[in-house]
Amino acid sequence: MRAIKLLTIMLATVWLAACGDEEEEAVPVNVNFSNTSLGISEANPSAQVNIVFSRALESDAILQINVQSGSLNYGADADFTTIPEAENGLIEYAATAGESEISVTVAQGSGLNIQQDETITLTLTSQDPLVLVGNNATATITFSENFLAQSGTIELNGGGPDIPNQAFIDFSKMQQTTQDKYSWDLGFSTEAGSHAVILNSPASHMARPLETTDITAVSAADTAGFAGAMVIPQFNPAVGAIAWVDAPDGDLSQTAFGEIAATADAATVFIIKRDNGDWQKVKVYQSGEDYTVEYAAIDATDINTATISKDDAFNFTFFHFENGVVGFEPLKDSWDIMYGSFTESFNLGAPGLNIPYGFKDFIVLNRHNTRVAMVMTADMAYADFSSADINSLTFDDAIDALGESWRQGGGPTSAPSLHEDRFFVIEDSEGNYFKILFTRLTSPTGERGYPEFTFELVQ
Amino acid sequence: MRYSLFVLALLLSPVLYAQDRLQVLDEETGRPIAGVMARLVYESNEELIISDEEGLITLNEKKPEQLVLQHMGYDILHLLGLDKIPSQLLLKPKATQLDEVVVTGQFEAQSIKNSVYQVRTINEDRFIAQGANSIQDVLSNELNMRFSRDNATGRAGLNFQGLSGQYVKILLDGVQITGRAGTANDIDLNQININAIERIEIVEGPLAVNYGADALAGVVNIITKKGNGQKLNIDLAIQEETVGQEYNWQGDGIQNHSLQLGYQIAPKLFAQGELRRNHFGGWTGDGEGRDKSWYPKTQLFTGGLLRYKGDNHEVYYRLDYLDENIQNLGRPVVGNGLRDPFAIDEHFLTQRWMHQLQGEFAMGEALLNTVFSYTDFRRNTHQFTTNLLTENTQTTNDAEQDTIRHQAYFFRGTLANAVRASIGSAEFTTQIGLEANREIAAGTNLTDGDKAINDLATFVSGELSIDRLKIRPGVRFIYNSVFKTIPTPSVNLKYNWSDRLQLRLGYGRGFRAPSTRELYHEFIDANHNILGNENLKPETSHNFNGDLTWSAKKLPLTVTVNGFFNEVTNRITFFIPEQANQPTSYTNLLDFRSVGTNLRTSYQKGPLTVNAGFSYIGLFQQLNAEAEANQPGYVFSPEWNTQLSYLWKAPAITFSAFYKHTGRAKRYQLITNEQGEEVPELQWIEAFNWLDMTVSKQWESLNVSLGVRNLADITSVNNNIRGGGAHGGGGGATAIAYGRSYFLRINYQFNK
Repeated sequence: MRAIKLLTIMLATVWLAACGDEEEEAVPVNVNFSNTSLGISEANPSAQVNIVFSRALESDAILQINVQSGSLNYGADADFTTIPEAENGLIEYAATAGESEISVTVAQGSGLNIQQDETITLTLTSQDPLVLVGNNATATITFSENFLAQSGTIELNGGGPDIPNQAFIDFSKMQQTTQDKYSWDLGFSTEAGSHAVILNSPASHMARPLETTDITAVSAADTAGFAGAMVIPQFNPAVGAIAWVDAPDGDLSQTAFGEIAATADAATVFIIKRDNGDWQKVKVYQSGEDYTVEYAAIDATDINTATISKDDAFNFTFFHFENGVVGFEPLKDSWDIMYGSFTESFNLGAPGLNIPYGFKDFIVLNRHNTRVAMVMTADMAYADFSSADINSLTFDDAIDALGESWRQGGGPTSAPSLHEDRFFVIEDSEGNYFKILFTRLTSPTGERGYPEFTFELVQ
Repeated sequence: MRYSLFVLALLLSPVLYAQDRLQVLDEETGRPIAGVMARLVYESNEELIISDEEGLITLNEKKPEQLVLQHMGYDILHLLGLDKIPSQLLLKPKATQLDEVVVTGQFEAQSIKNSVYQVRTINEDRFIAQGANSIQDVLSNELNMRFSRDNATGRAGLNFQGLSGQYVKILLDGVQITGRAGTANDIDLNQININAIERIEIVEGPLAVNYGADALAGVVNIITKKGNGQKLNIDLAIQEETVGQEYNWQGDGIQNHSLQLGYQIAPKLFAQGELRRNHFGGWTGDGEGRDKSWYPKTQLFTGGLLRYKGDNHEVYYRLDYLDENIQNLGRPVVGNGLRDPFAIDEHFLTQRWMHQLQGEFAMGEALLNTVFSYTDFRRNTHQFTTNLLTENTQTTNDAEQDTIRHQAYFFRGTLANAVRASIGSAEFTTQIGLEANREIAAGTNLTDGDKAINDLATFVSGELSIDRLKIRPGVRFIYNSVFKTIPTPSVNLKYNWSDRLQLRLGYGRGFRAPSTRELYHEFIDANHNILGNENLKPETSHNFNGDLTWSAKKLPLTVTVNGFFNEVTNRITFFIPEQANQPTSYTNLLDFRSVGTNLRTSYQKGPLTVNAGFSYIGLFQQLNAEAEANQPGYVFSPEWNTQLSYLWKAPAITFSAFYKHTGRAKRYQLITNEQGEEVPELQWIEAFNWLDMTVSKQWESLNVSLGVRNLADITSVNNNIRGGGAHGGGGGATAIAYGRSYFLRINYQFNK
C-alpha cells in the first residue's frame, strides 16, 4: 500500500506542477510617434504624422497632442493647419479600441509665405494610466524646400502575402508610393542614344525568341513545349530559361530582348509569358530615338502597333499591352529602392547552371546613381556607424545588390526570418548616405508583405 | 493471449527435502532453475527470495497465504490457499517465439510455427524493457525498419524493407487506421497509445488478399489488450525522461503518465479503461529560447473496451481517442521597439475517434468474424501571432490555416472452415471474406468540396495440407468507385522438413491506392502549381519471399534466414506537363525494386536472452521515364542488431541492452552536371549506431527502471545531399535524434 501512496503523491505533484498558472496583470500600451522628423515643401504640401501604439488598444483612450507653432501661425488661411484641428495649440485625439495606429495630418495653410526654414513641434501626452508615452514623444515638422529626413521608420507596403504591390521608397523625403505590379508589361529605356527593353520581372514575365521576324505568321503551333519550359522557377537549367529573363543585376546589355533591331525586318518575334498565363507575341525595333512595338495575342492575326517615346525624367517608359503607356516608377530622382517581388538568377552549384527563380521580399535599387553596401554588426554597430566609416565600405550599384540579402528564405521546417547580423548603407542619387536596419519581416500580425525598417541619415 | 497462458503447475508428492526448503524445477527437462524470484505473501508482510543454483528456496517456518514464483523464462506460478508448502514445484517454460499465437492473415489464431506467413512479434515486455514512449522507440531497433522524422509534426515516417511508409499497412486489431493522408497511407505510428498494446505482429509481403491495398512492403498489426483473466487489474506508470540535456519539472523533457484499469464485471463481461498523457517538451537544437528545432508535443489518449465472451461467441467494442497538440513557437520579433515584441506561432491539432465492434462466432466447425469500424480524424493547422508581453494571440491570414478531415467506415466479414474436406492425410479448408469501405475526405487543400471513395472487395483463400506440406492460394477482387483495380492473387507454401526445420515460400500481388492527396490535392502559390489527378491508377507490385526457420536440438536457439524481392510498377510521381499553363500533377510512371535478405537468431537460456540479426537490402529506383538503360543498378545497405537481457538473480535486477547498426543509406538522384545534363548521382546518409540500455528492479508490485537512450549521443549524421542544388559539391547533415537522454520509469501493477 505504501507504494500506491507514494505513486499517488508523485503523480499529483507532477500534474500540479504542470497546471500552475499565474493571474495576469494588464500591461500598459506604449504610444510613440513612428517618425520624429518630417518635412513639408512645395511638392509635398502635407505630412502625415503617424502615431503608433505598441499593440491594438484594448479600450478607448484620449491622447493629447500639443502643437508648438514657433513663429508660424495656425489656421487654414494662415501658415499651417492640422487634421484633427487643434484648439489653443492642443489636439485632443479620441482613439478607439482596436486601433493600433492613428495619424495627424499637418498641411500648409493658404497664407504660408516663408523666407527661411521654419519648424513646428508636436508633443504627445497621455493621462490614461494604461497608455504610456514612450521615447518618441515629440515630432518636428520642417517647412522647407530642402527638407532632408534625418531618421525614420517605414513599414513597406507589399499589399499582403502574395505581394501584389511594388513599393518605392524615397529616404530623403521619407516617402513611400505603391504601384500594382501587374500594371505594366515592358519597360523601354530612356537613355539617349541607345535602345533597351526590360520585362516586368516583378510579375515573372518571360520572353523567348522565335526564329522568325514575321509576327503575323506566328501561331500557338510555333510554341509547342513552351508552356512546360517557360516557368519560373524552371529547375532544369538545361532548358535555358535563364536567357528568357533579364539579367537581374540590371545590365541592359543582358536583357531577354537583347539588342533592339534597327528595322522592322530585322526584329525577331518574341513570345511573352505574362504571370497570369496569358501569351503574347511581340517584336520591338528602333524608331529613331523612339521605339516601335508590334504585339498581339498569340493566335491573333490583327497586329497592334505602338510608338514609345523617351522621357529622361524617368528610367523607363512603361508599357502595358492592353492599357498602352502607363506610369510605374516615380521620377528617377525621387526614389531609392523598390520593394516587392523580382525574378532572380539562381545558381545550382556549378558555373553557368543558372535558373530563373521568383523571389518575394526582394529589394531593387534605383539604377540611377544609387548604391548599397552591407555592414556586418560584428564589425560595426548600427548605432555607431558614422560618415567617417563610409570610406571603408565597398558599394555596389547592381540593382539586385541589396536583393534578398537582408533576410533568409526559410525551408520546409523553418519560417523565413530577418538576418539580424547586418545593416545596409545606401547612397542616393543626391549623394546622401542613409543607414538602414530591417526590424521586421512581417506585419505585427504575422502577415508577409509588410516588412519594416528604420533608417538614419549618416552624419 | 500471453496472460491466458497462465498455467497451474503439477504438485509433486514425494518429499525430497525438509519442509523448510522448496525446489523449483523445469517442467520439461526436470532440471533445477536458478534465479526464480519467489514472493511469499503473509498476513502482514511479504518476503522475496531468489532460488539458488540447485533451484532451492529456503522458507520461513510460517505458511504464506500466497506464493508467487516468477522467472523471465517461465510462465508465472501463483498459488493461493496452500495447505502446506510442497517440496517441489514445476515451472512451465514460456512459450518460445515459435509457439506464440498470432492472428495476422490467419484463418484463425494459431502458432507462428504453423503459420504460412513468417510473422515477427514484439510483446509488451519489450516496450517495458526498453522504456518505450512510442512504437517508434521499439520498431526502430528492428531489422529492415528505419524511421525518418518530420520535426514539424514529430511524426514517425516508417521505412520498411526499403519502401516508405505509404507502402506499409498499419492495422489496429486487423482494422486499418486513418491518419493525415486518409485511411490508406503513411500512418504516424507515434499516434498510437502504447499502453493499449499487447503485442505487435509484423508480416513482410503484401497480404493483399486479406487486407487489400497498401501493404506492399508488409503489415504491422497492433494487437490491443483485452483482459488478462484477472478479476481486477491496475497498471499505473510514470515516466520522466530527459530530451538530450533538457529536463525540468515544468515541461522540458518528457513526462508520460498512464493509467489502465481492467475489471471482470461478470463471468462473461469484462471492461477496461485507459488514460495516457504524453508530453514532449521539445528540443532546442539549433534554435534559441522558445524557438525549438523539435517542436513540443502533448498527446492525450483515452480509450476503453467492453467485451462479452460467451461459449461460442465473443463480441467486443473498443474506443480509442487521440488528442494531439504540437506547438511551433517562433522566434521573438522585437522590431524597432515601438510595437510589442511578438512571434509567429503555429499549432498542429489532431483529434481522432476510432470505434471498433468486433465479433467472433463459432458455428460448428465454421468460424465467422465480423468487424465494423468508424474513424473520424481531424487535423487543424493554426497559425497565429503571439504578443509576448500580453500573451494575446491573433490568427494570421487564411492561407496559413488548414484543416483536414477524414471519415472512414469499414466492414469486414470472414467465414473460415465453412467448406472443409479431407481425403486420407490431405485436408482442405477455406476462408471467404467480404469487405466494404467508405472514406470521406474534406479539407481546405482539396479541390472543390468533400470527396468520397467507396471500395468493395471479396476474397477467397483455400488451404490444402498434405502431411508436412501446406499450400494456401487466395485471390481478392475489388471494386473501387474512383480508380480501376486488378485482382490480387497470392500463393503461399509451407513445408516442414521436421519439427525443427520449416521452409516457407510466397508470392503475392499487391497494390497501393492513390491517396486523396494525389487524387485531389490543390497547392497553388507563387512558385507552386500542383493539382491532384483523379485519373490515377493504383501502383502495383509483385512480391516474392521465402524463409527457412531452424530450431537447434540441444540449444535453446532459433535461426531464421529470409529473402525477398519486390517490384513496384506504375509508381505515382510528379508530372510536369508540356502544354500551355497546365499545373504540375501526378502520374503513374516509374518502377521501383527492392531485394534483400536477413538472418535472425534467438537464444534463450536461464537468465540470458539474446536476439541478433543481420540484414542486407538493395534498392533500385527508376529515375526518369525516358532512359531506363542509363539507370544505375541496385544500392545496398546493411543493418545488424543485438538485443540482450540478463537477470541478476540475487537483487532481482534485470539488465537489458538494445543495439542497432543502421548502414549508410544510399540512393541515386538526378543532378544537373556542369554540361547541363541530368545525370544520376549517388547520394548517401552516413551510417550510425544506436544503443539503449535499461536496468530495472522489481519490488513486490512495483517496478523501477532507469535507462539511457541513444548512448552514442547521436544528433545528426553527415550526408552528401546538395540542398536543392543551392550550394555546390558540399553536403549537409541529416537530423536523427536529439542526443543521449536518460529516463526513470515507475510502474505499479496490481492484479487480484
